Amino acid sequence: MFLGKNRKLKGVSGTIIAVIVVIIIIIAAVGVYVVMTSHHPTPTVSTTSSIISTTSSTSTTTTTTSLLNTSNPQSLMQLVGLTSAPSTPVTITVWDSYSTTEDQAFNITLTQFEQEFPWIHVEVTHGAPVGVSQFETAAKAGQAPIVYRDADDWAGQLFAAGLLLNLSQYLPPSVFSLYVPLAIHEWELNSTVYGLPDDVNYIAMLYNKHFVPYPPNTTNQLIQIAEQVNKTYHIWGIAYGVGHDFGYRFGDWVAGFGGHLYTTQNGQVIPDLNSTAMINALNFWYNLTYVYHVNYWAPSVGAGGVEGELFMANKTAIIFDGTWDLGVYLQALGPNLGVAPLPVVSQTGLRASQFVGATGWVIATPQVSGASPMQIKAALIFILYITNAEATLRLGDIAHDIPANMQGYEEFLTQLKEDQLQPAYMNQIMEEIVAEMQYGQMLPNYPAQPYYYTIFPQYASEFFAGKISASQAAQEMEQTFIQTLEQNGLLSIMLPPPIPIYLISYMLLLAPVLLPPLIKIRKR
Amino acid sequence: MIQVKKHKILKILRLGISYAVLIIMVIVSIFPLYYIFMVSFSGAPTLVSLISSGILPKHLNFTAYKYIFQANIYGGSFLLWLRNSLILAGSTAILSVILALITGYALSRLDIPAKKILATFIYIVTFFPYTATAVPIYLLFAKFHLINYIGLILAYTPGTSIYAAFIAKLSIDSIPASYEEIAMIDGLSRFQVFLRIVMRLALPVVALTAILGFSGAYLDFALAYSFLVTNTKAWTGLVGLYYLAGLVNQASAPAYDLFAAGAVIMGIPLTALVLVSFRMMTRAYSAMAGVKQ
Amino acid sequence: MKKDKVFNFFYFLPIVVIIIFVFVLPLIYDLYISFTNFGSLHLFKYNYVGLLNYIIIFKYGYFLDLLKNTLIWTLGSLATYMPLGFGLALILNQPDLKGKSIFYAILILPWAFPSFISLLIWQGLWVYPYGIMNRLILPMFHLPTVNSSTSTTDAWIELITVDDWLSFPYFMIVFYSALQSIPRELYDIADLDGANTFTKFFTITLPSLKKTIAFVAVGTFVYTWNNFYPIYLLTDGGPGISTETFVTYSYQQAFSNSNFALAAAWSIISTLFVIILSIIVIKYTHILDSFT
Repeated sequence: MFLGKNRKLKGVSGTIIAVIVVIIIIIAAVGVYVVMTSHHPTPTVSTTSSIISTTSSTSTTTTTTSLLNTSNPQSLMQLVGLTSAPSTPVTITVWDSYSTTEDQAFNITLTQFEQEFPWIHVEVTHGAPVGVSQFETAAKAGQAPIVYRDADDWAGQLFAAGLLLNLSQYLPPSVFSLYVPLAIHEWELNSTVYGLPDDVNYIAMLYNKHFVPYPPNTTNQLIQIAEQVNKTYHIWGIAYGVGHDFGYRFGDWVAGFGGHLYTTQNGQVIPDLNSTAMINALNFWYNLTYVYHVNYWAPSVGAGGVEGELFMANKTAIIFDGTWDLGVYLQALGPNLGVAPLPVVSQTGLRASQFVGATGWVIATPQVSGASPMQIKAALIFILYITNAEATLRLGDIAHDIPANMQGYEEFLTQLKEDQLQPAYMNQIMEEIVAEMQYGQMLPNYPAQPYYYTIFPQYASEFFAGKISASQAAQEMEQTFIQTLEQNGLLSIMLPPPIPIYLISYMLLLAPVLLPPLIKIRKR
Repeated sequence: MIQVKKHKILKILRLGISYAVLIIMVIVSIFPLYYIFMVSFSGAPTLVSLISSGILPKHLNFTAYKYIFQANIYGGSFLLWLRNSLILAGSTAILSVILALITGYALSRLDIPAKKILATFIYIVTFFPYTATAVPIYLLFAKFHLINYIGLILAYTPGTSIYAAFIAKLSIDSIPASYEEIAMIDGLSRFQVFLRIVMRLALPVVALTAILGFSGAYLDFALAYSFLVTNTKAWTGLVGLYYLAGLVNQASAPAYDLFAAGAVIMGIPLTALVLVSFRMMTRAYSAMAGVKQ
Repeated sequence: MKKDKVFNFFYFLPIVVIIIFVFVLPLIYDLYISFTNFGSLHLFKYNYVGLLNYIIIFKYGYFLDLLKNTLIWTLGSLATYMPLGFGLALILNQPDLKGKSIFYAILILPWAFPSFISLLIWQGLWVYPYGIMNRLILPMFHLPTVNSSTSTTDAWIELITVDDWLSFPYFMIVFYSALQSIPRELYDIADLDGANTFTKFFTITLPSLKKTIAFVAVGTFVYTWNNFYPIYLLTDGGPGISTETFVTYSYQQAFSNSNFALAAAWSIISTLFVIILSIIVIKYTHILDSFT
């Protein structure tokens, strides 16, 4: 358009323009080439793993106790195939994604670790991001940390992408039996373990004892109590938080109505969102909000969201929030805080079953972190240590997490039974929380899981806004989920469409123009 | 007589409506900021309870401010981070000014081949959204070891510089070329002319570019976080603030009073800068409009 | 002469070099990966998939919905805060108005104060039914309450009013400065000719400001088109996807779904649109003509 208006290309300025344009194209093409090629160090993974497997078999036969001691430096070093500390110190980079209270526990463990392993220097990144995209970007740039911590449902994707170390190759199976079975199972994909869990967390029913006389055991009781609270105190019976994790929280109720998120067909895991269970669960909550008027849709979740704020301001009697927020609620409500398992759905007789998630520590593959074999060994020692009984028990005592290490878990339970936690009423609360685990279900860690989290809220929010019906919502969310999985190659039902013929002919025509610069670059 | 009276009534009506509208807009502008202050003094990390409890606070609580000033996280403190922010933003401002004025001068005075095409090109290229350039910039800068302050400054500058370059061009257009001709006859090189005469006369544009460049760098969280998260001592004020307020980690309950207090502390230098130079910005935009008759 | 011309080009060199690194290379990179399946599952070994991502966008990807939403967001915001800024500038431009500086200084504050905190506060202010907006202010003016989680119209009202609050000072500054630059003599002559306020406005004020309005409007149009933060924070594209724009959706694809290739394709489409729309406006108002 602009060229058309001022066609005054004189000979001299014409060549200068051409030169400028060619320079810009060359700079751009070189830049793109530089970014595209990624040279990462090729690790000698296979040889070290064979060394480990032979030495660990000899070490297990010499130990007399059946439990491996992951607190003892000697046995930890033996586990990774070291007989003594190396002469030169080794540095590992760790992304610490703990909350501020959890960090208090982590720092103590870290100091101890550095004392017992003076040859391992730990470089910690504080305030590390949760959520995988930062890790992925860093991985692509070859700058991923060696050690990283994330939730199992997100890390599954990373492992499927080949970014995480296959721990089953480096550690004997006896190590994995040191953890709570449900927790370590969450960190398994295709029978290989890709992370070691440190704590277990899930959604519980939290209520305010001042308003709620006894925790409801069934949904009918829930409605009854909520209506009572409404009438007597003029506050909300229930506040249901809606946020980015809407799907994660709602899945609990789908289970209560007899449904699940996935099912296996012909050996393949596929979504199963379009079920009567989903429709009933959706309608249940719709009724609670618009028919019984006992529920308030809080636009944000958690202690920092409207849901938690209303709860702490005594404006709602019951919320469904995670164990990770217990500390804040304890501070706000004190002994008035009540905890109970999710209620039994009166229609089905099934209890709403919370997803039990486990956060855990993973090691990046050498391809993305550039780690040497010795650094990998140090990293293994680190994650074994940071998830041992003592460390996880510390997380429980200081940050009210539930230890995922079996020994830590049992010691924690003993502490609770002996009322060792301060203040006194906390023991009762934590005991209830821990007891709730028996009703939990495994949080799916398939690579597909993160897609569910973006797709579910889209249709659920439309349904709760009254724009579509429940069956429409269930149908469309499953449809979109399947489509998205196909598009990302997670379901090999749909093949990419063949390039239309006319495009191929266009590309052939353009080839003589596009090829020469590309050939020029390759020759460099 | 009646004409004069009618004139007077109209005038009172006009001014009356004007003041009314202005006062309403002032209230509209201020009340959210008032809440920011109130949240920072609330000592309670809940937004809703504060907002629903009424307009006047029960008492002023300075814990948030105390915590921020005393925080010492693994070698970094809020004051250190604030200092980093000021340095980063200041450097961005300076670089933006230099680039904008050089380019604006070139656009205005110099005869450059394909100037119109280049001008249109650099204008249009800034339409590409940040969400799309974030990942490629990180990957590209990682290759060139620019994941640090220098890389950040380079990433922040072009957006402001191009917009300001066009404004600078118009401002420089209004400076008669004869000033420069005379100076060059007197023996100054073009570059010296540029420095002494043009920069000084185009001061309003300089101020505008500096403010835009400063605030762009000062208020950026996403890019600064992805570049700097690994080095606690190098964090900028905003990155540190997000960390202290528990907004980085979803498992922590956010402390909104800390966040508000930090925002107030960080907002003071920026607001002061804007207020001080708004007069200059006014004159910069006058130049832009004035030439386009 | 030729040497001089080439040397003059070096004045442009710095900005061009930085632009190549910060805009052009990312653009080419995004263009390239939009034809692949680059994402978390194909981070290092990705394949060329041709037009798959673009087909997804147009066939399954709510393209028309997002286009509609982006237009509502951009044009709606522009159509509200431009007149507001303009009106305030006109008011402040009256010579017999007292206390101009104070009013001006206070009215700049919404724009000058860091928006990350203002947005958070606004989020709280609009919470239904607890926030002050729904509890006090809207009832005060007998206006219906706004609940952005259940109604799309309400969500847009919330988004656009907050964007207005954040952006009107900028326009006020621009228009005020432009108004100040119109020589007083023009008005005085018109007064002598007996013109009333309206005539003066339409024959003197508006024409002088036409280019300013157009330039700033285009710039802000693009800025708002790409502005994803307010929507992300206030409604997160809800309810459903009724307030998702191109950039917010692209962001979600990149950072929640880790599907970088699809996000890149969305960005390319979005940028193409905004470029086409802007070029139309630029050609129509000839605002870039003076830039040669």
